[in-house]
Amino acid sequence: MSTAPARRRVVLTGFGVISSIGTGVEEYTAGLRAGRSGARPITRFDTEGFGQDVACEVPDFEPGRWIRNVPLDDMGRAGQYAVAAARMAVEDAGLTEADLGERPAVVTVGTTDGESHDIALLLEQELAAGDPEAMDPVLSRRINAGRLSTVIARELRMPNVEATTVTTACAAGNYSIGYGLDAIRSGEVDLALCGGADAVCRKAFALFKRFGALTPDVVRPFDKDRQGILTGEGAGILVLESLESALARGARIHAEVLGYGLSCDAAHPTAPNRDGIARGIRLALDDAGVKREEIDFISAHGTGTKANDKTESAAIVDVYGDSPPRTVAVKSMLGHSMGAASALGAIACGIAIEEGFIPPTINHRETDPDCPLDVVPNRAVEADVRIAQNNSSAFAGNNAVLILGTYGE
Amino acid sequence: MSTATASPEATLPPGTPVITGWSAVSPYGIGRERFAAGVRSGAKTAVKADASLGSLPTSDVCVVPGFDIQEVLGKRGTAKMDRLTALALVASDGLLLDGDGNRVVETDDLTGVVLGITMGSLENVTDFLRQSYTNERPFYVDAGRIPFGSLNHAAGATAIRHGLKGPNTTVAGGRVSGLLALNYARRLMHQGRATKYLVGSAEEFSAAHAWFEHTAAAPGDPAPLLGEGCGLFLLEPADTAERPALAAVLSVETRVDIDDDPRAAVTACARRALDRAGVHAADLWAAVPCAAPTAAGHAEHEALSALAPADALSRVPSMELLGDTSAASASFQIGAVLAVAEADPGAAGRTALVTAVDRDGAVAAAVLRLMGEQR
Repeated sequence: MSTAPARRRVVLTGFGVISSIGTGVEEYTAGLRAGRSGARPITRFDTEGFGQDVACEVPDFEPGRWIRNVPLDDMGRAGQYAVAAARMAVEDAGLTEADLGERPAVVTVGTTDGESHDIALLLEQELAAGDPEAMDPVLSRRINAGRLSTVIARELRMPNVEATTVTTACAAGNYSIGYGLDAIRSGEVDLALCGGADAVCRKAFALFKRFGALTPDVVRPFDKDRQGILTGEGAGILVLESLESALARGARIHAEVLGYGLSCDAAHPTAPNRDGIARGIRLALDDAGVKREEIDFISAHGTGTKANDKTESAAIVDVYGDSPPRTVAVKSMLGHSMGAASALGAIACGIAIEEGFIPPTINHRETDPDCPLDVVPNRAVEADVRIAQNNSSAFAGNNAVLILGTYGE
Repeated sequence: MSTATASPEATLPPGTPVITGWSAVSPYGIGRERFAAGVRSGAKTAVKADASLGSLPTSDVCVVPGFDIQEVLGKRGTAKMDRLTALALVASDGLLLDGDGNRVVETDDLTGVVLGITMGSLENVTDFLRQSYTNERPFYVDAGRIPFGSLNHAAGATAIRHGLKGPNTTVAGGRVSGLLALNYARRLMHQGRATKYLVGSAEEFSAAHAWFEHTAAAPGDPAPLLGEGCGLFLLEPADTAERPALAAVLSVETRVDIDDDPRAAVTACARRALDRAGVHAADLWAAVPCAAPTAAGHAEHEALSALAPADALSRVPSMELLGDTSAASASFQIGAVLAVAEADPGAAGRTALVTAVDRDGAVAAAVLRLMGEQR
């Protein structure tokens, strides 16, 4: 394997979760174990004319519970999710603001749409007035995606950070975690807050509807009758820490980040690519120094579209052969939370390792013969999970695959 | 500080990222030569906005002259292309191809792309939403334009155009995004994930962007004069570089201004970048701020004035000449340093500081050593 000698080990010591199936690690764990569905009627925007109105929105979000230092108006919905999840993650890690302070760190949030909901509101204002001067400056100041990361630094009072928003769409969460891993491995920092955030918006809903990729029913990944995605939202932020730092302060370690891989299809702007995904998986296994047979389960990209699930299954079979690890799609529960998706998937993997169960693929009736996988249908299974793989792919041919493992000596 | 006798390359630690090529599509025109000549002349680029741009909050703009997407890139696959992607593709051609279109830079499966942006093509996303609001049904939108609305499209399209299968990443950070991209590439190369990188940043001009910036401006501030373009660099580790190094990236440092004190944040960030690079501020050959037309931009200038020698601060003409190029700015600043250095034999071995501040609070600084190689 390609691991360099004496490479620094990186562990996960904090999870922050805002999701449609539960806020906080405890509720999210319960949701994953129970196979809860986050699907509900959309409240964010007017769905008249769409002919459907369901998404996986976060219910009852109370930003004031988590966001104390920065005015709530300084960020849109995605930013609020990111900040809330970051606050939750550092609290879960047992880090106080005094522990953070001038400490060097990386803050990386991945996103697909950023504050595109605010952009839609600004356009509504312009259209209503027939004049762009009518747009609200409070909204127009907060639409740039870079803010998703800088606002976390402002809220947590961490000036000495690299705040990078990664906009690699639906693979952005894994990209962010991978960047934190590289930053800590380099020895330049020993702390990183990484993950992803997105908010349900008209843009994503109209886009997937137009593409014929929005299910009129429920999300059924890998099912022969799957019809597409539901859009979703939320945020997942993970505290990555060098092992030395975590041990020195006696932190609880959820899991270890073993490695990741990035590959680019360089082929088609929107279609998933079997070779690109397989290459990403192999790069991740190699970086992690993990053998194929050591993977206990795969948290798939698993969107529930015809194209993704078939292509991803083929790539998994290419790498793993005829008896691949159990492969589940948490998007069956969460919908497609876009930039948050693989961050929430990574946290699901961490929970699976820590709690000893594999979350289910819900809404499952009959596995598609083109997806020859054990998808853990409908019910979670108890399992000794030592190593898990978290897949993600995005438009523009961006694939990112993350490998997490149980922390051992 | 004289380096007339020592080869600056000899002093670089192995693995130091070096810039071995660059390209620019800017308000000075298409190509590195036009950018370099424009920067060295100190010419303004603002022109009266063409009526085809639609209603704008300002009369003047700094657009890439003659940049008609289909004229520049041909008709195939470009009918619905966004301007941001087109700017990046043309810049990538300038970096990887010679004047006859032949590939002059070798790439492999680990050649990466990282592009800094602000919010992608705001024209694409607002047109899409406008269709959703005004067409007969809210999803009767132009499907052909959808792929171009993804924030990572320009970087992905660059990979498709040149067959680049290595790590492909888009980072958003407005004016600091070019330096975030540089740091990203530095880190991933150091970890062995890429053998070389196309790294840079891009911004498109559009009426949509102009109106957002106009309404976002602080009360009393005029609507900003906006620019556009893309700057791209070829970055390789010094010890495996296949081409002569133009500059070495000695350090990239970042910070977030959490106290609404951009001067202090820029000062702290620049000092750390200099320390990390082992460079004394007094020895700087050039210091180039992003020159944002905002209070933070003024604070940035004050911070550098207090830190760097006056001749360093005036070495490179102000970026104001290009308008506020937002995400493109930091890459243009580096390009401007290289452009002025290549015409000044005294630059070899000297160092340059590049800084940036963004509305969202991010601050970044990079220190480069000029290697004295002529392109």
